Amino acid sequence: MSGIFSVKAQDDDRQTRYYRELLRKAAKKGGELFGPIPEGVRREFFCLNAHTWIWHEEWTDAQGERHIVTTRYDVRPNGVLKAQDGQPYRFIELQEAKHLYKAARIYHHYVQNELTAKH
Amino acid sequence: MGNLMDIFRGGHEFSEAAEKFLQQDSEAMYVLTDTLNKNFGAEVLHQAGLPDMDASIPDYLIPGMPVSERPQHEVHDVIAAPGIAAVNETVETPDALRQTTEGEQHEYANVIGFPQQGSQLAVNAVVDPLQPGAMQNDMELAG
Repeated sequence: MSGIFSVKAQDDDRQTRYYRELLRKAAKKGGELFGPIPEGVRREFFCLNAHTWIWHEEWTDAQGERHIVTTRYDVRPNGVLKAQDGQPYRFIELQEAKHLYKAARIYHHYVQNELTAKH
Repeated sequence: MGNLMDIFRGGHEFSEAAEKFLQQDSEAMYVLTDTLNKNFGAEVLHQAGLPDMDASIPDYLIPGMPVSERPQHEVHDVIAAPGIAAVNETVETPDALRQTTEGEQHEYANVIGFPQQGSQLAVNAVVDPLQPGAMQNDMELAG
């Protein structure tokens, strides 16, 4: 019996690693939706789960200091809550909602296209 | 464009992971669309430049997508509305993470790997999105 469980655990582990790799690659591609990424900048945009979208940005300023900003959009029934470094939660306004939807829609299109066309 | 499949190594594990990924992505899109429609109306959903779901995706720049030549951290007009968000806040440790639950922090570290040195965020275990709590000390993901 333990052999069966061991094989199952290995399968689950492999599946988990594939899932993470998919998420990483999608996040990287998601970061490119906003245009060319300047050298030294790391940008990622991705769907973390059914209710959360993440925009992550890292860059080095002219003084050589590294900065990291993570923006999280929590989708709730009564609106989309935005959490950003050092700022309180707030609901996004119309213009930001439009941009978020556009980015999410393009990201979604990319993911669907990639995984259904060749999967 | 097709680098999502670069990780394909055959086997049902990949198929199942891809299936879950697709399912979650679709659910997230449905939830977002539904919420935005209820709170802002159809104006949000019907915008120029949105990809046709049946068309192959063009290069990463979609017509109508807001694009700026400025560094991304100065771009308020991509997602954040102009004048509302200071996207270029200079904070060493993402405060947003401190506002989240420990489990959520682990999820982030799992995906995008925040630098741990000098950070107040200490990730000692990683909660896997598929198997919560199943993996411990998976620090190579957060390096």
